[in-house]
Amino acid sequence: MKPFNHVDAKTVKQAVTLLKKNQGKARLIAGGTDLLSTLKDKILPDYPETVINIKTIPKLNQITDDGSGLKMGALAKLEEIAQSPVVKEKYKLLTEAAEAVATPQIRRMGTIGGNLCQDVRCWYYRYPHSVGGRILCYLKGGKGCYALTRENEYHSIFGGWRDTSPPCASACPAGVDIPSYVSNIREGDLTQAAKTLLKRNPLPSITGRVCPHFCEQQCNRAEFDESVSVRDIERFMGDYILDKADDIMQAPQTDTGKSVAIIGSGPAGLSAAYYLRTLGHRVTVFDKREEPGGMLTYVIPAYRLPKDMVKRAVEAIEHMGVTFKCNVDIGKDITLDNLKKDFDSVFIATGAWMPVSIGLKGEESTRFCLDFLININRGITETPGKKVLVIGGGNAAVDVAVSALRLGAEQATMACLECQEEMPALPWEMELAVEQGVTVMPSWGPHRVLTAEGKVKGMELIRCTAVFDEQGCFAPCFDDTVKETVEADQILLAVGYDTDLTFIDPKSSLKRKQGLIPVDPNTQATNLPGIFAGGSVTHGPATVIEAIASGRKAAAAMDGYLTGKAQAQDTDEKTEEPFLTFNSDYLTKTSRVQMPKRPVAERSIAVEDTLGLDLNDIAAEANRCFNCGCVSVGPSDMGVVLVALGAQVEIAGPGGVRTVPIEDFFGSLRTTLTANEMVTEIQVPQPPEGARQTFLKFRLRESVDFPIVSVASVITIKDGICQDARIVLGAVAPCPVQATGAEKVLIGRAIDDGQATAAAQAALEDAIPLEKNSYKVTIARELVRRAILAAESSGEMR
Amino acid sequence: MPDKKNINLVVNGKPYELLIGKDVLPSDTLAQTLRDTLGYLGTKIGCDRGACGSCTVLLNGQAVLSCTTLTVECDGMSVTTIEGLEDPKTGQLHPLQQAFIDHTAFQCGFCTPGIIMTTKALLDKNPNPTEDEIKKALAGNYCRCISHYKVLEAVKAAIQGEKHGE
Repeated sequence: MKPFNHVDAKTVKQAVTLLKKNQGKARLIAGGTDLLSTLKDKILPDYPETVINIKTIPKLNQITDDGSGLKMGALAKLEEIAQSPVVKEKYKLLTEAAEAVATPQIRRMGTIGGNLCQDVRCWYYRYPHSVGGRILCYLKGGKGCYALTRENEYHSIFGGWRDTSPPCASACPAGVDIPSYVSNIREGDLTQAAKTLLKRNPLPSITGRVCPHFCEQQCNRAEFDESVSVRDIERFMGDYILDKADDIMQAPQTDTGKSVAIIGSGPAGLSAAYYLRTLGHRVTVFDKREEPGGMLTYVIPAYRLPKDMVKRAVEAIEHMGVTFKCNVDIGKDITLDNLKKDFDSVFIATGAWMPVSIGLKGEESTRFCLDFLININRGITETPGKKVLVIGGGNAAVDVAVSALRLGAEQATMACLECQEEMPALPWEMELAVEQGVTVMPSWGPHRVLTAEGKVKGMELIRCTAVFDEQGCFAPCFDDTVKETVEADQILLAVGYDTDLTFIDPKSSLKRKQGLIPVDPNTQATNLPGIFAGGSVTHGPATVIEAIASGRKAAAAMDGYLTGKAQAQDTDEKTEEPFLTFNSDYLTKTSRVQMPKRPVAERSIAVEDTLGLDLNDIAAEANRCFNCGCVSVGPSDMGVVLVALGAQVEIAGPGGVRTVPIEDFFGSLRTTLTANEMVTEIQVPQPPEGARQTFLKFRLRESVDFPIVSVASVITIKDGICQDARIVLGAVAPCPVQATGAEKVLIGRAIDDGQATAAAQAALEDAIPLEKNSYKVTIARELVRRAILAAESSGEMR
Repeated sequence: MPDKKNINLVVNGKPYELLIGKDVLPSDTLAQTLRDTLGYLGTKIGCDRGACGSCTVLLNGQAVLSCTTLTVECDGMSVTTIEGLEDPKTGQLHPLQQAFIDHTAFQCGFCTPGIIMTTKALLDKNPNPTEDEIKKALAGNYCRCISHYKVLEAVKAAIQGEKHGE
């Protein structure tokens, strides 16, 4: 073990104060049997600097029964509980469960509090670091859950648990909870899917067409067969949302009376407008061009993103009560200062639209790519030239080259510094370029423009040997002995865009730095109170989804600014997450859905190339999602019987003491204890008179082993009729599962073998075993049946 | 910020004063201290995770796992290891040890000190256990050579021997 400090706590208060003081870098030690093993195996994400011994707190190990219920101090040893006469007399379940924990030595050392708080007991998670390195499972911040497809007798048959953000959602700049909305689709609930999606992305019809989908690059499915086509699912949902926009994107119920001006109606501005409006603010969006949408409207070609789509997305936001004012040039028509006076807060999202000079010989005779693309989107569809050369390797370069060919150019060539693998254009964009007949020339740098009689004749290129230096910074190296000449009558530069901050008064105190507006990365706030900024104007050209993310982040912070509410509103309301479900056929190897496309000959400048997919295709694709999570189970035997007995857990923290029902304590894979809390006492109400308590634990060896399945039941039978029943299953789900279905079958009925079998059936009705552990369902059913019959036979005896 | 400067420990009747930070670290387990610092190599470290029972020693008379006990938490306590069972004057083996030898209750012997210490704690508390009680008490001591049935014979013989005043 790595060294740590060790402190003896004398009181509960001292222990929690020490926890708080150590700011997450301390752990409590009671029996120590679990903690020291996790430390030896380096399982915890952060190794504690201090270990606080709570065994030195007096009187925390007492077991008392005041007639109405049992109280066990958190430090009561499992052996003390197992041997306590008072426990044995009335709370037989506790005696039996305590006796079934691990080994005599561990029961002699381990405490009830520690048993409830022990760390997750999955052997992949627990794999010792010292033996060939740690297994970085999902729970430890890795990508996958090893138990899904491998040995999983100690794992769930009732779904998993999403303890941390799954890899796809983590990779998404906007943090869209992809597995959740895909699950909603799988369950057939498109309305809920839409709601989940809109929480993080108000423009899915657009991102479903143009987003690079970083999520797919991290998809666990990619290692299995092919990544899930989040893009196509998102596009379908986006179109669905626009079709039902009146229902799904409604005006807010509240009105805060606060007004917000947004400068720029690109994705960042639209996103901020949507979220601010949702929060009840009065939003006006200004744009200097004729139509809203920014680059979505003016730059991205219609064959990739139909302009009708952008219009409908803007209209949906407009219908929520957002005002759009186009043809307003901020800085000329209204100054930023005046805008700040007229509105309570301002969001600047003006983007990056200016050409970047690359210092090329003859650069003045080249053309800026955006001018060309903007013209097309304004309906000016001139043929740019017979032979077109595009400098650049990104999506804009592809757009220019493809558009040129579709407008009648005979030849379009793309030359870029990057080698084939490094080209920033997306793979499917490159595919489009190749299909269209674009000649791609990677690893070539522009050297000089060739002209004759004042006309462009072509360009001399030199070999680019490397684009980035060892640190990954842009530092191109050339070999000018290797040259190539490309004939061209039109050269377009698609090598980047610059911002334009001339709309800000040069004397303004709004901070600017290297052509950008610097902002607080957490709030998008500028140096001036009430003025926020986001999108490309704050970080240079980036993706649509990054702009959307910054708009949402700004909206949350602006809401805090406007209403005076505490900031950090940027959290989704924490919904009680049910167990994750897995579909039965998710492990069959399948191919990713293929988006149908128009034949190359039929593609044009104005009509979308792709044809879209229907709900059947999308549902099939949604079915491919692993719904990544952790499928380990709650390891505590005591926890299962305490749920059956309806116990309460007393918890002390720096703020005082709280008591929670045990089932809430085990609300998820991990307990509800927060960072600076500790369990102090377990309170168990007295079971009903004559109730029969049964604990059954099925395991591979009668000692040491954790259960494959356990069952705890408290059943009251009077005159042969079941009055009350509480049946709880252990080791089958992330936390103890109350078999309410089985209880319903029993209560009010005479108990016989048939009834017990029916109840057992009902107990496991919702089971969704993994591929290799369905036998646990059979075992669990049999244990439930036996537990019920045990209660029945004891009734007979009486 | 350790609040203790040293640990007073009695091992097999012999008192030790251990300086924290010098003789022992707060993160040292009792098994480590016994073996590496004090040289009681009879205590074995098997799994080092509290599962196998090889490291069992008596702490104030209770059979506990020394691999998952911190030495700093044993201040003022008395430890008995396998070395503490023989007669300190004559060097004669404890009857339990002798019974294990007489009944060949081991093959490789790695788990034996732990098993004997657990048995010792059991017999100290309950000099006349039933077979079932012996099995339950020894449920935390694993023997990968499958000598458990021989262990049972040895323990039963030792109990008989005590009864006959051997």
